[in-house]
Amino acid sequence: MNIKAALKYRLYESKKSVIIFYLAVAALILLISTTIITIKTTEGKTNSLEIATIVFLFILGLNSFRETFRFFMQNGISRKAIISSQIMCSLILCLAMSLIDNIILVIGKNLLTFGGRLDFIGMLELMYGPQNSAVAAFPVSFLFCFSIYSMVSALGFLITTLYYRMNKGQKIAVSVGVPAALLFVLPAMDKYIFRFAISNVFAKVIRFAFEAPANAVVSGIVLSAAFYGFSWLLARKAVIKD
Amino acid sequence: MSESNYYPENMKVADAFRWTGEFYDSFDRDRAVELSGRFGLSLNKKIKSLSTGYGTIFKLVTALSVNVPYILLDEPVLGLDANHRDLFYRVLIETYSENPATYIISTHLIEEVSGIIEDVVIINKGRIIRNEPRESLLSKYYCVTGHISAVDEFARDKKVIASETLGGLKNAYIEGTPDKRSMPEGLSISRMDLQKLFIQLTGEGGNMQ
Repeated sequence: MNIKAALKYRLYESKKSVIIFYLAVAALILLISTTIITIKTTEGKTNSLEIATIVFLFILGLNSFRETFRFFMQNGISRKAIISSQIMCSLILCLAMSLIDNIILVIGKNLLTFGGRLDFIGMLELMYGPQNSAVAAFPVSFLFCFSIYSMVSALGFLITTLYYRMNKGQKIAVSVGVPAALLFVLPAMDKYIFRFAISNVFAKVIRFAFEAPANAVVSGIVLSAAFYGFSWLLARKAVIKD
Repeated sequence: MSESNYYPENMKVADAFRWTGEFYDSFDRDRAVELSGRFGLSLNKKIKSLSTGYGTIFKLVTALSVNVPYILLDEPVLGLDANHRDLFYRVLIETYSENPATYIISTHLIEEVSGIIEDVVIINKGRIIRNEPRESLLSKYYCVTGHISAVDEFARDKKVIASETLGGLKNAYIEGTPDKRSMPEGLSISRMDLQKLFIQLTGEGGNMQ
């Protein structure tokens, strides 16, 4: 019962943001279409509208812990219900937004071409090229978007949970240390000590994880599960901080 | 009911009641609205914009409307003026009469709650030093008032837990049961009050553990 109420609250809280996001997307498409209709010589491409959704879901994930955690804790919602409701809410939003984005893509590809002057290209097509079957493309693109959305949403939630648990010193250390390690220390070690062995292994892992849509779907789901697993480990003993 | 306020930044009082109803099946929203009216709490105000007193009232109204078997009230009169404190104690008794439950009140204003509580738990430096019914606790002590010399004479062979002097008069707080028949003239006996006892049990020089 607690999970149901918590999920209901999370969905209610996300609803307004999602509506505003899609109103902005609709306004953007309308603007592009109007420009193409008005200026006859103009041609356009909308590449990966899904990237905007990814950014949106990442930010939504980043904003999903602190305030809700405190509110839920004050109302006797268990930590288990807090995490479970977040996972369920994220899955529902990712499913819905993946569906909407792919519907927008289909509409754009078929109805908003303006005689070939406007081209809608989805994230799947951008990464893996045009799919052989237009019928199969929809479910593949839908699953692909869903897994990537779910992964970034979970990553956002993990980061915010991690920062919530850390003290000020740890926050500074992670905020400075992680980018410094990734941008300077690791590349330097890779180049001078490991003779590019690290980057080769990393490239192989990334290639394997995302070399085909099916790999990407599985990788996205596995990473989502891992991120939520770590979030649970962090949240299960979290206390309210003032 | 926590002393702190952890409600979201933009949540209004009416929305909070709505969601409390979702979280607690037994929450009586009509009762919450009715109590809000009695306390003068606006349903359309954002919780974060409420003053300390009205923030407390909001949490009190919520806590008194949830209808659960155990209700913990942490500093329930924090920031309340005298009228609202009086109203709260009346509403608490009223709610308890209609729907009996165990209310655990954590407060520093002992004198105010002493009239409505049944059991007392006194905690000093994280340790429980008394845990018993109020009547039983208070019956173990009494207060003797009179001229300093008369009180000192009376208390000589008794266990005095504390005393205070004002002008030529003295109050002595004594452990035990008074024998009214053997009271010397000029001395009066009164009941120990909970706050005085609390101060003696927990304050500087309180060595009654």
